[in-house]
Amino acid sequence: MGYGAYVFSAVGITLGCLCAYLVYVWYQFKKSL
Amino acid sequence: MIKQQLAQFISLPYMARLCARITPYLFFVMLSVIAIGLAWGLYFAPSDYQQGDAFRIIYVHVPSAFLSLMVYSCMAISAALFLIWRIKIADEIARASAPVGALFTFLALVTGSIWGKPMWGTWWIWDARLTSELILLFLFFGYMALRDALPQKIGALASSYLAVIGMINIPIIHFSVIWWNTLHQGPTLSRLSLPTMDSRMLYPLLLMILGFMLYYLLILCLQLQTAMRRS
Repeated sequence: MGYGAYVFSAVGITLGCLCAYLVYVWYQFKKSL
Repeated sequence: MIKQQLAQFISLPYMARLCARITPYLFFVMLSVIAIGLAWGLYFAPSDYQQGDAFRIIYVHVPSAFLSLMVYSCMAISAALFLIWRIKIADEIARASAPVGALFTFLALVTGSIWGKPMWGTWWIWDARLTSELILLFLFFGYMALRDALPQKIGALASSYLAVIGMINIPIIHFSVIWWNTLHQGPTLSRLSLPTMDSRMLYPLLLMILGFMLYYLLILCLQLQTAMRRS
């Protein structure tokens, strides 16, 4: 039985959230210039 | 003399300048460490003999959970420093830590849930480890809400007290799997004993934890520069 869907969901959600928050913080930083 | 130098070192303008210098390097090192850790963990590390490939969720779940505790500890220590010596930069570090800490806690809960479904047969259970981690998420939310709900100075003080009092939850989370009979497995990495993992699985995990630490540091650097420009 394959667990690929679970692994890729977990990794995708993690990387997606981390990237989204980094972009948000970067945007706030750029806006403060 | 030493006191003067220390005061200069912990001033917001000095730290913001230092952060501006290290931010680009930090970004590329973090990216490389996470990319290597992920590739190693997802592709090169061997499968677990019981859990098969599902164990690979460990490479995002454990770093998130580890960082959630570490970020809360940093936030509480910074809040305590602010309460005792009124160090402005400590307050800024505590403020910048709360959302990223909440994010790591959320990710630890979500990835744990995704791991729980195939292994335990359920997305969620009111287990001691899971419940205490959920309380940690509420503590982060409480800190942010209290800070924003009150005027600036009172909000900073009240939320700092909350962060320090909430520190009691950290040992409860860490030792919950030892103190109570839980569905969650015992600690894999502990300072007092050898890791219970094979080194081929352990090294990518350590790399991922380092990558997540660098991510936290990067967020702090950007937030401190933003705070400096706004003040």
